[in-house]
Amino acid sequence: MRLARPALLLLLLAAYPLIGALPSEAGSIRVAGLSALWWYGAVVAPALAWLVAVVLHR
Amino acid sequence: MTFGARTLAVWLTPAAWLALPALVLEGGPDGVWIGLLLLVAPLLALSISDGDARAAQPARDALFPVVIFLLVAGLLLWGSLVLAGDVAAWLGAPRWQGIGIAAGGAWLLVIWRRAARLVPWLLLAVLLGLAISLVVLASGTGLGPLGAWERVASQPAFRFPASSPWVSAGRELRAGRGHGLLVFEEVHRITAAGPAQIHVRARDGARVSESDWELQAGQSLTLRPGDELTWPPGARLRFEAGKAVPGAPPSGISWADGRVADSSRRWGLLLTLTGGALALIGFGAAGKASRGEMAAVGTALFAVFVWGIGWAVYCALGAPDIFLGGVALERLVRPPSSPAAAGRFVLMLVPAAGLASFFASSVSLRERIGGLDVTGGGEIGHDLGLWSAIIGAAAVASFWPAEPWVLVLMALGLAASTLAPAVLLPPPPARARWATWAGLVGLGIFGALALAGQWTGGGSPGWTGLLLAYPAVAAAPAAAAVLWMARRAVWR
Repeated sequence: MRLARPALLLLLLAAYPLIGALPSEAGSIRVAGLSALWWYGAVVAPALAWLVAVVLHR
Repeated sequence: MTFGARTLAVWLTPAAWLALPALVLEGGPDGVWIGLLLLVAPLLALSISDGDARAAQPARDALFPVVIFLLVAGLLLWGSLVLAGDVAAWLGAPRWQGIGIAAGGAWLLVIWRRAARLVPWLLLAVLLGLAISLVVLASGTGLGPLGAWERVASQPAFRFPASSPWVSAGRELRAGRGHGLLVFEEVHRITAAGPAQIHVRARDGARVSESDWELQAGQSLTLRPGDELTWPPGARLRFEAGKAVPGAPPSGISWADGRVADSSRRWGLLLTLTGGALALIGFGAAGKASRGEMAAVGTALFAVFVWGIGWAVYCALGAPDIFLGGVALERLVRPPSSPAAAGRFVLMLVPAAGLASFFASSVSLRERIGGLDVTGGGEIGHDLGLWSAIIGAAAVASFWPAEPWVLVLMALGLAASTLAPAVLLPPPPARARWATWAGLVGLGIFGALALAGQWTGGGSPGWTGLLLAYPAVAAAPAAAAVLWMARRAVWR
């Protein structure tokens, strides 16, 4: 459990460059006006990081 | 001062949070990546270090971490004071006034021993100032965040608005800095607003010709696509409204998609920022953040992140001339084509937030270093002579042109190379001194690579230039290897 938070946060970070490197420029696909990479980097990952840091805090 | 407020103030120096919208404007998704690191790295550091009894504690006679923290604090103060000078010049005042006000305020807070009480209030003022300024800028466009991003990302080109000061009255490129270089993408007629000596490098196929022009006020010169204009310091030039801004991305689509990603740089930034956060926040940390403090820190970081992305998008939409010659941090405090209807009070909110943030950071850095004082009382954080010398040296150094974000990266890289390994791999009590030896190894490698990087201009792009661009990538693992060997020797 002690390592769960750092591991999840690192996973959230590592996913961003991986989405950017997806074949066929999948990260540039627009979803509801915003590209998938921007959705992840500007909305999903920060919100999940907050949840992981606070909810899993002991 | 609460643990959470100190963590925020140490991490979010004005040069760091103002770099976020600048980097988003400059690199699109690359800037979002740096913003994500600025948000997650301190949360990661708190997750790794808090409540861990084995986290590195300075030995009773450990001078090394204190010296490193003083160097890091000096670099961070230097970066913020450079920014203060640049902001003053951008707002029309001499650079020394901005540096003087910021450095003088920080010095007065050294004298006032209870200054730490101010930090939470200063941070609250920063957050309020940033939130109000963003709401005002956004309401001026009449678009929500998603609509604004979509509009920017579909722009065929970033063009000079008629309200731009570079169109109406003409102004310098960057006051107090050296020569600037503009590359033109389309035919553009520039007009001198005062006497100006300019140099033009024109390309005609494979042929390159160079010419010097001495323009008087009102005289014009037409430049063609591919021409390079060297802008001398102090010269004021005017541009044509509706023409593409030199230095801006070719289109909104290319901005939103970003340049061809240099993945090596992304990993270099990851190690530098997370390692720097681990050292700044985790090394020798005495307290543990409660769930409430963690929520407050996370929420404040999230708010600054949202402000940075939003500020960049609305600036690109309402003030595309911000791209002229490359995005400079100081322009973000008052976008060049910001609507006058916003009012003078609102336009001063971001510069005021920057100043409040600098004061909070200077106090928190001193308190942080005082916390390493094993004699108790944290006297080193209130040593008037020591801090007068550090603030004075940073103020004098800030008269030389430097990029604030580069200084922040250097400070974080230094901390990551020397102190972060001891947080991850604390040496056994019998070999506490190995933390210092490991730090010295990291310091040596970091210093050598940083100097080589300066010598070669940052190295080549890609994995081959990674170590020169981000020396912590080699220095931190080397220091960690020393600690690993120490631990292994004890277990045997």
